[in-house]
Amino acid sequence: MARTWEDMIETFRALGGTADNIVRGNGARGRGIFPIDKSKPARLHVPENLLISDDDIVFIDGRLKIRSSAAYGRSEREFFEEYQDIFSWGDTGRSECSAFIQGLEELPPEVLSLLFPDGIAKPQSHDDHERIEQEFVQSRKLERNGKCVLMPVVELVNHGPTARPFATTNGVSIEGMFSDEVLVRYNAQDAFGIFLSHGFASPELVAYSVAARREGPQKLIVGRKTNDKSKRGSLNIPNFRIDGDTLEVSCLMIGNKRFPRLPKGIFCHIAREAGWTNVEEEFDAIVHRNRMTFLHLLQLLEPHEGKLIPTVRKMIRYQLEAMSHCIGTREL
Amino acid sequence: MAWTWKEMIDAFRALGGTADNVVQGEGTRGRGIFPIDRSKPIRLHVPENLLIPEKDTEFVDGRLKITDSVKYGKDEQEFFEQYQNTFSWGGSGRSERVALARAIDQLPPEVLSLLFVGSTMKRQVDIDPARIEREFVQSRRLERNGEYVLMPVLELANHDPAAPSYDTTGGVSIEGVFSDEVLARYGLQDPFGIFVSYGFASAERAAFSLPTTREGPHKLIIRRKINQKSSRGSFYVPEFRIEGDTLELSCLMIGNMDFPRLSKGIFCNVAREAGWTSPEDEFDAIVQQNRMSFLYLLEVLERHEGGLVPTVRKMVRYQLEAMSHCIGTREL
Repeated sequence: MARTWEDMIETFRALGGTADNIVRGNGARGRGIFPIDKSKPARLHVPENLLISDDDIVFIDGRLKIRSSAAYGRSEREFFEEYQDIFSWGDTGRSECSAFIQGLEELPPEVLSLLFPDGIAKPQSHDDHERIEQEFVQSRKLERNGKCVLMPVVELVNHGPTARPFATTNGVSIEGMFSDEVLVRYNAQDAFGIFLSHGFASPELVAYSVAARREGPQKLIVGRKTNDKSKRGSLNIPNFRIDGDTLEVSCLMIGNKRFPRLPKGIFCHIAREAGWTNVEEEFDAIVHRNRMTFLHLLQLLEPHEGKLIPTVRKMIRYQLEAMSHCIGTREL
Repeated sequence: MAWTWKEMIDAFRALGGTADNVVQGEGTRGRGIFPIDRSKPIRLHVPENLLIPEKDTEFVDGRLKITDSVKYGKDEQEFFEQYQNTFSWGGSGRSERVALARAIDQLPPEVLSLLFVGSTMKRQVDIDPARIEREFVQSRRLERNGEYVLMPVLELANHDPAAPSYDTTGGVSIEGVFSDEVLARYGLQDPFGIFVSYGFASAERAAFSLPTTREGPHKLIIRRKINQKSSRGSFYVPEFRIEGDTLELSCLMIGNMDFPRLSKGIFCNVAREAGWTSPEDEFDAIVQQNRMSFLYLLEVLERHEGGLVPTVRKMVRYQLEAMSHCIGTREL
C-alpha cells in the first residue's frame, strides 16, 4: 500500500514519535529534512519502542525486516518495515549504497589499500547484495549505550560538522532552530572517518591520525577509536594506556579548527606522562606522516577518473585543512 | 641558413665552448640533452665570451639579437643570434611560451589571482609579443654575479631538483655522469616558484612562504626573493633586516626535505635576534597560512578540468609535500 509522507508521520506520532515543524525537501546535500517555519524550533524524536537494534534486523528478498524472533510490538514492526520500504532502504537507500560500493570498486587497488589498510572498515562479504545491505546498515545505525540501533525518520536528517549531535536520552532526538536544513552531527569523526562510514566528503573541524604502530625505544600504538573518555585538568581527552615502554592511544587528534593548540598539547601531556622526551618533535613527525599519507593518496588519484574520485579528493582536502589547524601547544 | 646540431656545436667549440659526449634528444621531459655514451662523463661549458647579459639583448622583428655589437666579437654575435633563431627562441622557444601563456590564461580567474599575487608576478590577460619575449628571456636566464645572463646550448638542459646546480666559475658549466638525460638544477626554488617561472610541476625539496605582511606588536614582512646570502653559525640563511619593531625577511623557508628542523630553526633564530619571544607559534601560524592558501587553490581547481589544471594540482601537491617536511626545530 503506497503511503504518503503525511501518513507515515501520523503513524510515527501515534507510536510515540515527535515530528514538529519539519518537512522533507531537497537542498545542497540532496534530499533532507527542513523546518516548515524557520522562525520556530524543529523537533524530531524517536522513542525507545521505535529504536530497532541492528542485531534484530534481517534482509529477506531484498526487503529490510525485523526478525520474527525479536521482541517488538506488532504496530512498531509494521511501521518500521513499511517505513524502510517506502522512505529509506526501498526508496534511495539501496541505490545510494550500491553506487558508493561501485565507486569504491572503481578506485585503483593502491588507493583502496590506503583507504582500508587492514580491511577492517571494508565490508567482509564479496556478495554484492550482502555488501550493499551491510553498507546501508553501517551508514544508518547509531551507537548508543553500547548497542547499535536504527532510528526511523531521524535517520533522514543529513550531517553537518558544526551541528549539534543526536540527544540520546529516552530515545534519540534532534531539536533546535534551523535557518535552513535540519542538520545533525552524526558522530565525532574527521573527514576521513566520515567518508569511510558514510561515503561523502565533509569539512570536519577536527582531524585524527591514521592508525599506526611505531617501534623503537618509545613504542607508540595509535588507534582510530575516537572518544574523549579520559580527563586531564579540565579537558576531556581520549583514552590511553601506558604499558612499560609502550604508549597506546585510542585515537590521536592532530588538528582542531576551534582549538589549534590542543592536539599537540594533549599528545605532549600524555607522552610526558609516559616518560618520553622530545615530545613536540615526535608529534610533528606523526602529523607529517599523516600529511604525506594523504598527499600520496592524492598522487595515486592523479592519473585516474571515476565517479567517486572527486569525492575522495575533496575528502583529502578537508582532512588536510583540518590537520593544518595545529598551531603551537598548550598545557592541560 | 639552416644550421645542423653538429654545425652549431662545431661553431660553439670554435668559440671556446665545451660540449663533450652530448647530443640533443627527446625524453620524458620533452626535448633535452642526453649523453652519447652513458658510461662516460659529459661536459657542457659556456665560456665568458658566450655568456650574454640579458640587458645586452633585444628582440628586433621577432628575432633575438645582441644590442651592443661593439662589446662583442663578430663571431660571438653571429653565433648567438643564429643559435637563438635556430635552436632556442626560433626553434621551439617562442611556440612553447605562447602555448604556455595560452594555457595559463585559460585557468579560472580565481586561480590566476592566487598564482600570480603581487606585482612581480602579475599576469596580463591578453597575449602580446612583448609578454612572450619577456617571459622567454626570464625562463632562460641565469643570475650570476649580480646580473642575468643567457647561456646558449647549456640552457637546453632540462631541470631536475636533484641534479647538480650550474658551476658558475670561469663561465657556466654542467659536468658529470648521467645514466639518462643530462639535467641541471635551475636554481633554489620551490615547486610554486618553478611553476610560475617555467610552467611545469617539479618536486622541489624545499618550500618557501608566499609573500605576506603581518601586523601587530611585531611586524613581519616576508618576501619571495629566494637566496641564502646571509649566514648564522655554519648555516646559510636568507637575507633579513631588523628595523625597529619590523622584521623583514627576503624569503622564509617553511619546509626542507633534507633538513626538516632547519626551517623553524632559521626563523626562530632570526626572530629572537629581532627581540621576539615565542617565535615558534608565529612560525606555525605562517606555515598554516601557506597551507590554507594552497588548499584553497585545490578547492578552486576541483570545479575545473583540462589544460593546465592537472599541472597546477600536481604543483600544489609538491608544494604541500615540501612544506610537510618541517619537523621540530634546531639551533643554528
